[in-house]
Amino acid sequence: MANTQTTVPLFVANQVLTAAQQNASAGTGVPVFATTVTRDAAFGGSNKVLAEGQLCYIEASNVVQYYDGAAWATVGPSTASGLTLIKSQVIGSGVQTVTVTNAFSTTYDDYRIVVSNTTLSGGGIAYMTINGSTGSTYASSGYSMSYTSATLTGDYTGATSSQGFGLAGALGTSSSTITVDIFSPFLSTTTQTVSRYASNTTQSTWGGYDSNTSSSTNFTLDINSTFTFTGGTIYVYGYAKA
Amino acid sequence: MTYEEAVEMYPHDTVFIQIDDVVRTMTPAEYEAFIQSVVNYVPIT
Repeated sequence: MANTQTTVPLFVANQVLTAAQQNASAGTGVPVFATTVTRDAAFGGSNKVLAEGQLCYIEASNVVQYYDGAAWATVGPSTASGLTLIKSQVIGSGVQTVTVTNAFSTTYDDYRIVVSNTTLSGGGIAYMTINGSTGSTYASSGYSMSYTSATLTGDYTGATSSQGFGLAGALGTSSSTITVDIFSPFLSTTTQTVSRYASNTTQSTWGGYDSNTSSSTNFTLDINSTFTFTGGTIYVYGYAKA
Repeated sequence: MTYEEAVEMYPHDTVFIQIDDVVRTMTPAEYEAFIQSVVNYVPIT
């Protein structure tokens, strides 16, 4: 039985419900199966013939699927693909440092952190520390440029900085955005960062490394230890492992 | 910057930190660490 419908029937009191109507109603609903194996076993034989347009829900993977006439496909992004928002944090007014807790866990190895549309009280370098790392184990470097000059400025922190990962340089005091990819902060291994920054006047790109192999769950942002953040939002996303 | 200059520039009750949704002044230990970071900071630009 094909799933194509030509009407959406409306029943009235005392109307006879025919077998055909009941079958059409039951056959075009969204059945729920435990796994794809029980899904495949539920069609054919004395059951409904699988046909294009059939929908189902799979409990094992928490996805809705459709049959395209040849194979099953998942509706929308599944929970196991792409970037997943872990948490977001609105930044207060005039805060020296911003800490986001429980950002890293065993669920993901790598993360993207977006600091969107915040205003800085002064320029210099933006830093990030992770709570499992103590001592002077960070190393970073990067380049920055203004929008009105082709001059490229390079900065570096040295190989044993305690300040944190350098994320961006030549910071402006206008609306600013930073993106950071951080790799393996929760794993008991070294951690790397790759970051990009843009304001209304400057931009920069940095990379960083932390030789401390301790596991971290939190991160903290600061500007030269001296300047503050006001407004904007921090978003933390996890990269799916598979 | 000396320790005294850092304390004068950043009085304790004017330095705020944010942890998740909570914005507050620093504990004495946090403030001490902050002042030390200001004193020890070496500009690299």
